[in-house]
Amino acid sequence: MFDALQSRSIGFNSHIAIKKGNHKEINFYDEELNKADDEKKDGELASTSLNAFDIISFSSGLNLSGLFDDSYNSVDDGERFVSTESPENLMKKVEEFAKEERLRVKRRKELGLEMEGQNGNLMISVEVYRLTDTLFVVEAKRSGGDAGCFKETWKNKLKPVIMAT
Amino acid sequence: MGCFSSKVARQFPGHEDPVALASQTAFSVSEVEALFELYKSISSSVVDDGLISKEEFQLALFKNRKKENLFADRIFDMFDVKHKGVIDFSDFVRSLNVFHPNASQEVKIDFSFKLYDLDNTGFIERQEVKQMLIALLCESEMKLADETVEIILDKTFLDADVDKDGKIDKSEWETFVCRNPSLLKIMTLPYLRDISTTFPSFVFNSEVDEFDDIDSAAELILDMHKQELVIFWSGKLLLSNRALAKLVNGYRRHGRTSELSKLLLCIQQDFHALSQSSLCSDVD
Repeated sequence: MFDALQSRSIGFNSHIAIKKGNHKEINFYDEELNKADDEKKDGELASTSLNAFDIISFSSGLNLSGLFDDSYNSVDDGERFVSTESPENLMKKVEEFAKEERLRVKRRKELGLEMEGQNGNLMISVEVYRLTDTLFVVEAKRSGGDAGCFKETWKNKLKPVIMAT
Repeated sequence: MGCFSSKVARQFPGHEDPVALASQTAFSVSEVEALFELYKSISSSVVDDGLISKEEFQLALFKNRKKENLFADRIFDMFDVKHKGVIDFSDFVRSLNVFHPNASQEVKIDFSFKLYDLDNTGFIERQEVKQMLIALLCESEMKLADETVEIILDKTFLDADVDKDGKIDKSEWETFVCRNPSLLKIMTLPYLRDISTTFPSFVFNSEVDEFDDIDSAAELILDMHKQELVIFWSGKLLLSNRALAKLVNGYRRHGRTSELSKLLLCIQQDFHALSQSSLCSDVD
């Protein structure tokens, strides 16, 4: 055992053996961690609007994920903006986009959805929140997958679609 | 591991023993040690003094040491428990403890109240909320007219300020948060649930180098065996699927899934002769 230690074989060049039946089910998607929270949030926000603290909570300075997730970049990983367009219209646009780009819609909520494509490299979640009687906040986030894929797709394809009036 | 504290106390001022920290927080000893890995990298990123400065905190959070942000400032101030202008390891662990999924609602409510009470008066005043709202709008792409801001403030205070004194006290905050639980979402970090998964480098790290004796090395191996990261097979020390899964998760969390696919293919090809089953299907 100590021979193995001394040659520091804990690494890629060591013997990696795969024993059948000796694996644990691993969930690769953040969704399972956030799902319960989101479902709760959904119930409230569907009927109520965002309050000042909801908006304040959007701050990247309050999101400590950056400490743990090296790829997480508040600027590149998501965006929020205010829209006067009805959420139903917005969601329709997003659904059409998903169809055209052949993205699989993984989760659908009243005012939001999560889609996936490019073999799991692209994962985008879009959500709409009511702000006032006439204003809504649209939030688009990378919900997993490759950071580069998200950035490219969001900037060049999805964002223009959503913002077009 | 007896050698841990003596070496460390020299390099890290104000450092507290991981066993003590573990007993007073929701973290296990090995989780505290994983946090120490993170702490080491953050605290040495600008000045290697074993302490986290504001700049280093900004660098870790935003990948930009010069980025100033009202809310990051507040978090930093709250982590800087002893008001020394720097965060030491025990501050770091005890503060992150509040964000642990198992921490009580009470401590999260308390932390968030103090967070938003910018001038520490014991009340969250309307002016403070306005200041925070405007700060948020500046950092995002969201644009709102002044009157919309006032409408939002009005509505928030209508909901939260029960005694109508223009400010939110601690008990009003508690009631408000109970009715709007999503407000505490920022107070929980899912990453802390299984912190050793977040740092695959901790799995592969040769802490072995730092051991003075074989007994401590054996202890590490046994600990890893307990966590099912290595397996003893035919007199060899091997990585388990779980360790591989942690590695995979590491790639995923770093947003490098396209590299990961290539890596898995390489491993599969290399071990095609050795393996009795396909790596990919097991990892799936």
